[in-house]
Amino acid sequence: MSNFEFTQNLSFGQYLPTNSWFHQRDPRAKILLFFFLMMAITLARNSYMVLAALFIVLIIFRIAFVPFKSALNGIKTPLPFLIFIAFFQLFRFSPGAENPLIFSIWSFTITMQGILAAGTIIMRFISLILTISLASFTLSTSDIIYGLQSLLRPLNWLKIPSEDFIMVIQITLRFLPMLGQATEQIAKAQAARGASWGVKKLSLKQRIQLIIPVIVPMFLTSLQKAETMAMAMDARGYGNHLNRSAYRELSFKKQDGFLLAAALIISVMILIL
Amino acid sequence: MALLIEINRVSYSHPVPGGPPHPALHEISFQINEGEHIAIVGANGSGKTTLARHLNALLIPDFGTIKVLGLDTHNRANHLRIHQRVGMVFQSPQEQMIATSIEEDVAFGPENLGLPTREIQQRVKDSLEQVGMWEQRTRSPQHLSAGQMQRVALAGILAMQPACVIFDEATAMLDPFGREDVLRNIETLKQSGITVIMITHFMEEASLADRILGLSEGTLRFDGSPDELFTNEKLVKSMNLDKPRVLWFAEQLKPWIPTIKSPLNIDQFRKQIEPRSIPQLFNPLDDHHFFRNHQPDLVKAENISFTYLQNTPLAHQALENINFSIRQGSVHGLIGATGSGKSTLLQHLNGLYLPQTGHLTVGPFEVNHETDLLALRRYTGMVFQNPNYQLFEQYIGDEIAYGLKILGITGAELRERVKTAMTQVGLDFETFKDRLTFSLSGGEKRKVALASTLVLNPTLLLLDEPTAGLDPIARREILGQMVRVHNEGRSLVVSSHQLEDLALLTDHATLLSQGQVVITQETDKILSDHPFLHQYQMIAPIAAQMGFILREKGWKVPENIIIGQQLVAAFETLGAKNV
Repeated sequence: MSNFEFTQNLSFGQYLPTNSWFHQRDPRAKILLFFFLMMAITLARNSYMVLAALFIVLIIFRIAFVPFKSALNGIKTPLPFLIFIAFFQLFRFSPGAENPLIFSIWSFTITMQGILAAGTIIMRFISLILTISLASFTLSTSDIIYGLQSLLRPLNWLKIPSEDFIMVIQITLRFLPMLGQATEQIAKAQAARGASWGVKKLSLKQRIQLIIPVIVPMFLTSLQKAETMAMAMDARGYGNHLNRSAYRELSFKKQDGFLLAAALIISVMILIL
Repeated sequence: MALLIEINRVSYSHPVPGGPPHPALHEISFQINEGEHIAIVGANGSGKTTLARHLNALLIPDFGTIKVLGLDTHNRANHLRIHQRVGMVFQSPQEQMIATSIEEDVAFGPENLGLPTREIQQRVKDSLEQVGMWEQRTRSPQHLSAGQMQRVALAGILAMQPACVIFDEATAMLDPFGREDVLRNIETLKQSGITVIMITHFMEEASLADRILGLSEGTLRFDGSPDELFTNEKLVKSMNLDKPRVLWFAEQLKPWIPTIKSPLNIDQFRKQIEPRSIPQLFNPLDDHHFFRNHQPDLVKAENISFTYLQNTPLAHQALENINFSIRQGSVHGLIGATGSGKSTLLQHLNGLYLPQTGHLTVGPFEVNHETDLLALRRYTGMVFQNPNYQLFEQYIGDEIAYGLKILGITGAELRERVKTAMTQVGLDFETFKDRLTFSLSGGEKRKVALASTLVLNPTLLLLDEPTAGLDPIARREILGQMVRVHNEGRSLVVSSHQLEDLALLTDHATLLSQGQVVITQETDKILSDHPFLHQYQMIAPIAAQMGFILREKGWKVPENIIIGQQLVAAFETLGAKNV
């Protein structure tokens, strides 16, 4: 792997068009499904229900034909951090009649409840990460944009300009790879003139010293790019605010309703039980 | 013909925060009729882009009025209608893509117009089919070539059903094939009755228009036919422009071929030459017309391959089993269509990328994971394609001193070396050292980029598309600098799709296609073979194309001619004129 491929480290736009039954569902149904699931996973109190949620997410992985391997990569990076948090959970409870002591050092005690809490928190985070990556594997940017546009349209009655909000998302998605490219170019230009990019065995301090001079020109070029883009949008009639229409027509079918109802029921069950 | 745009005594100054406004246009008046094909020419900074942006109400004049289809641009309520009727393709392909897929990007304009979904879908399909991008509609713009992006940009405008399309240097960032593609599209637009206004630095392109508007320092200096402009040598010079190269060379051949009138492009040249009944034979040209080099190798590549994003789903092989070598003291050209791997290969030579397989030797260095990259990068300097990305300091002086400061050079020596480097590229030290880098013109930015590399005194200099996007004068200056740098005994590797430039500079060239080396040959052999180059989406230098036509018509000029002087020299060997 080369040191200059910054775009690779951006985990956006991982859409995997496997064309499964799940992929073909209405984007609004999918967006709401992921929203419900994430709420349920975050707020569920019962450890078994968190485990159940993890299974459900894994089942959707199967239905959507998303290879499991690609999901594991997403877990690998934050895993040390998760273990770190879970570690503190181990010591959270004091031993009692209902909570047998397992191990103790000085005044620190590891109890059954502690182990359970640590396990739950790891599971909760893993399920959340998997749900998010599943969303990025099954929702194309176009799904997100047109789905949200349709879902947020009611906000317009409250005089909240939801369309501008959607445009911000769209531009952001478009801009990220461009920023990656700009950063790459600037880093290369500095490397070519003697900065130590790509040189092995640098201390942390040296690494930070490398990054700072890239940031300022990166912002400058992105501002320039943003200006050109704004001009291009203007030239194509953006901002007339009359009534923007949509290229994609979303049709909510019976199957979509079915999926959404199932997602809602499951999420409520995870929350309540 | 119906009146489309009416420009009446327009003046405009760019607002400068915290300073006096910068005047850009002065008292400009003209009219544009429906169905016209107009080229706007002028040197860098003459106000072409500013003028164009007035024509579709992106800018509003300070004084004077502009009416588009009778709608005054001063009135904001007219803007949506004006934007719909007058579309614009911008210079930089990337930044005008707004959505994350091609079809949605094309739909952006019609969506803004609030059209019904069915109608939008139909228009997107029609316009993408017209530019030949319908098959790729779901791809993301970032994975397209610059030429493809310009096609999509055009489709996005066509979907709004405009009366007029403005091309603002839309071909500047494209390779010759991409450029031909845009010109073909312009031809189609003309036939369907759409008015075309194009801003261009390529005089050959401008000569295709029915009418040329010439700008110089914000005033309209010329409004007339291409013939009128280019045959008026004094006017062309005073506006800092160049004649089309075909005209330039053809005029010098007139004494021998009297049928030549003033051809502005290669098709006109072809028509003006009468076929000879008895072929006129020529002696081969003397070797001193060509630059020969028999030194030992400086760079040697054996079977190098490189894949971007290796081991990911987006993996993309850029180089495959590359074998080539560059002689010491050589100017070596890398040619090939966009995406053929030129830039990637060039970036291997100074260790920005390391070969994933094979061996690469650059001077005393074996390039691999063990190489001292800092030393290698001091040995080989690199000037990148887009100067906007490689200038990162605020002041020019600091920019050029950057590499030296990293080496720990300070004080008088630093100052002296910066000064020398600036003088080398023709920038005056006192006037330029404290100027802001972003305020420079395109040509000046390239000079600064060149100076900031030369200051490190590299033995091998790598240049990626050194003349892309420059006006003819700036281009000639940069080429002159490169010749001078070479005469000082440095070796150069130049990647370019402007074969004209390589014809003047290089002794050998390597042709790449889809990440593979097609051939490495003497420049005059490879660049003079137009049909061969065309097969790999390249276009031979004008002089070679003219030589090809002359041979067809019975003037058997030598086959290895690649620059105009050689063509003229060949005719001079005939001695007596009018044979």
